[in-house]
Amino acid sequence: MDRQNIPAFERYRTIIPDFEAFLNALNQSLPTFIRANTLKITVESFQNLMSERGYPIQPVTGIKEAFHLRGVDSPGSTLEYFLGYYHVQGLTSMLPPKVLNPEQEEMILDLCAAPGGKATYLAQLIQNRGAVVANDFRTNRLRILRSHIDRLGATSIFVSSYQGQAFPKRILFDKILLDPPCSAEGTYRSGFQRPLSETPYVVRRLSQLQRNLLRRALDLLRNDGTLVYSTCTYAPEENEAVIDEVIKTGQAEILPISIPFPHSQGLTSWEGKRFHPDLMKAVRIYPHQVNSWGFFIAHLRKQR
Amino acid sequence: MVWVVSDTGGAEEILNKLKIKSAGVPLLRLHERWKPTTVGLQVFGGLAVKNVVSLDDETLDLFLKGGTVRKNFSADYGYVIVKWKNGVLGCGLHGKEGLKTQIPVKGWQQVKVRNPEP
Repeated sequence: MDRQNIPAFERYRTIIPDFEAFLNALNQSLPTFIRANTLKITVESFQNLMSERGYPIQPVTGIKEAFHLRGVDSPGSTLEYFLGYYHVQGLTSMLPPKVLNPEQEEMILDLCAAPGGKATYLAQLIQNRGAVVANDFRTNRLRILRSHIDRLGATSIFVSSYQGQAFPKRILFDKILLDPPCSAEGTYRSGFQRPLSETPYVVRRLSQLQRNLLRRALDLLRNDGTLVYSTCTYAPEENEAVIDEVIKTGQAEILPISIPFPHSQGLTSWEGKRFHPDLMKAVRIYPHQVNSWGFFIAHLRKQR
Repeated sequence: MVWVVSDTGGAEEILNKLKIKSAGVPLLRLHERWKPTTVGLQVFGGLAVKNVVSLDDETLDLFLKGGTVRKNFSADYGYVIVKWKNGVLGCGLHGKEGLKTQIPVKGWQQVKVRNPEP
């Protein structure tokens, strides 16, 4: 397939390492990754079952629940899926819950939770021993979220439907995952719909929404509580620029992240604007580094 | 509807202070009487020690397609929990004729039960 010229990505030529390899990666088909649901089955039993049933799965080094599934056209239509033994999820999309590192008995908020891959993973990581509030204002997507909760048996999830930036400040959470609406450049592969960011207005509008959501999320976090901010986009206006504001005002500090895949550091400058130097602790993942969705992840701790 | 939710310290605070659309997963649904949901059975049915029947690979297809599995199961007549390979599929109705699925059609219509080609 001929490589397509994606105008929205040209501006990243100086910040994405090995830009030609990045463009080539956009021509690759997106592999299917699944997450074994340890609320219902152990990883070992899952591997045995899938092998016995003739599904070719390959473990992913670094995330024990993650597997690469090959040769199945409709991974959401198998009996094992219906039984809630696995969830179909982008490999890099599994990282934000892992980075948040939820612990049992904690109160956790996923502020923009639908369709629910990350929220149900949070419930899985605490083995349903704790509380995960999965909030989303987009009511049409709540039905999908609910169906995943049921199928995966996530009894620790409470669903709410507040506008994220107006989520009531009646409870303080130990940990918060904020994966706000974004221009989703990281999900782009050749032949699919062009990125939303080709319209600059969209990035500006989303960036403002993301800032408002982050400010509210920090209000909802207890002192010393931690927050993971993630997007599936490359636009620095939706990533580093959003985080920079709360770091510079002292509302939060940025924590180092350890992930088991190749990645790049967060940016410390963009188009003449300098960001706080700690932003290099954030993580950028490109599809030529990990053959999955492009992602940005920052780990924050609320300052007293 | 009766819902089941993890019993944690924060549950009460969340339910009292926030407007919650749903908590946990649905366990029982009221028709003419209370019936366990497929979701509820899939979460808790594995703990049942009575009125449980297990399907093998041969009878699984027929059950999923809505056919009657004509086989002698060692379970009382009436509603039973149907298992396959240690996992709970849902509810079945066991009678003289055999075993029929009680799982809502919409839950199954997308499911492909055959193994992929090697």
